[in-house]
Amino acid sequence: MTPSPPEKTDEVIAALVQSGNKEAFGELVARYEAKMIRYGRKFLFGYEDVEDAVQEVFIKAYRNIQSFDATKKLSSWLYRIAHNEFINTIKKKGKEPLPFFDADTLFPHPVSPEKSDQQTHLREAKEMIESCLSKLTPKYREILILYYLEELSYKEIADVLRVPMATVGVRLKRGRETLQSICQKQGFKL
Amino acid sequence: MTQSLNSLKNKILERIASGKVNMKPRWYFVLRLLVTIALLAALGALAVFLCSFIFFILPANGSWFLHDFGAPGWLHFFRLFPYLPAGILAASIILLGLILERFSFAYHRPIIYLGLATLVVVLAGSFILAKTPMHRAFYQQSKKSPFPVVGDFYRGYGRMRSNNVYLGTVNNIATSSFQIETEKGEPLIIMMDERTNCPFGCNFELDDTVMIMGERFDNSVNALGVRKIKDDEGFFGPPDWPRPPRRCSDKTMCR
Repeated sequence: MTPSPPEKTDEVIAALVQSGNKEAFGELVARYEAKMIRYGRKFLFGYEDVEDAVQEVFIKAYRNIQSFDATKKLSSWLYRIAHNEFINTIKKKGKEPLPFFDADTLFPHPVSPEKSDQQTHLREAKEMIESCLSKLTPKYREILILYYLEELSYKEIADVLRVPMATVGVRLKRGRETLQSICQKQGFKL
Repeated sequence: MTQSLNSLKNKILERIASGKVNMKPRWYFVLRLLVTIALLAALGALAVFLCSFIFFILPANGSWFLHDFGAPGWLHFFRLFPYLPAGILAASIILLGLILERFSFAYHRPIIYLGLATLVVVLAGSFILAKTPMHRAFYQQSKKSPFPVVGDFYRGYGRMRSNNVYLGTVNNIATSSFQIETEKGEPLIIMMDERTNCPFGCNFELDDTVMIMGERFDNSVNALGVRKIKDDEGFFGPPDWPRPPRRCSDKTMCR
């Protein structure tokens, strides 16, 4: 039995697309479409046309693929495009307020330990997210999705949202607390 | 779900294959980066220029020294402050910060650090620029032969824009009054009484440069405040306000 060839990394495939291989982009879509649809459905909860928004994410990724630096992670770059697209969708529909300025990014905050935080809260947070997420504001809803459902690291989330890593920690903590209080009001038992 | 995903992938690939969706060329992004860097450099240069201009012009037109006259002096200072250059400076710094926020070295740090770093760079740059003779040269040139835009800027802000503040050189001294010659060569008699505020003393000598705050009646001014201005005052060496040519070769009374 011959060993199967090692799977190409996202960045290698992206480089192929950059060199003109259109078919290779199909491989990237295949790898990320489920993740993007899950991210879109959770973040754009109650919005129509989530799939159209996700389709637009991939179209924008293809149009701008030459701006991608293949030495960096493709996932962060793609999630960044998705974040922008989903925020635009929220703005267009005007259903939810989006703050123009986030005071959390203004001052330095101590960075909380990432791994212990994730292990401690992962199970209960996932349960709460599934039940009460839609009641949360986009600012906290998105960061909880990226961390607990998409399982991105602090660094990746910081790159997606373009905020300092410490802000990711602060926002996650506040998001979790808000979610907890919403869940408790709804009678959700942890 | 799988069917939906397949159809999404197919839709995207079909749109790409149809030629309706085109990849932007690499040079487009390189050009965009170069334009952004050029914009950053232009905004940085503008901010440095305006900041050093404000540092230069405040002592040059004398308004920097008004605060020594207490509350009325502060009131004049704020009335005469160059708000337009200061406003453009603030806007250029904000714009600079907003553009810098697009770069990972900036957005990975709290905004306060970015703001402080920008401020330090602009202040340091303006101190260096103010050490050069550029402002002085522009200022003097704007008086000799007016030139548009920048010249108007120096001419407009370089003069004392208050009817209650006068700058001049002492050329005659009496018991409770003295005479000055203003920039325009106009003689003014300065009347002093017990209410006159002299923050650094009321003993003036001939050829002293003085600033007077007070109300004018014809050729005399009832001084509310008189302040001697030394040659080494100002942010960057001697202030460069317009001084009338000395009428006497030695420090004797000129009549």
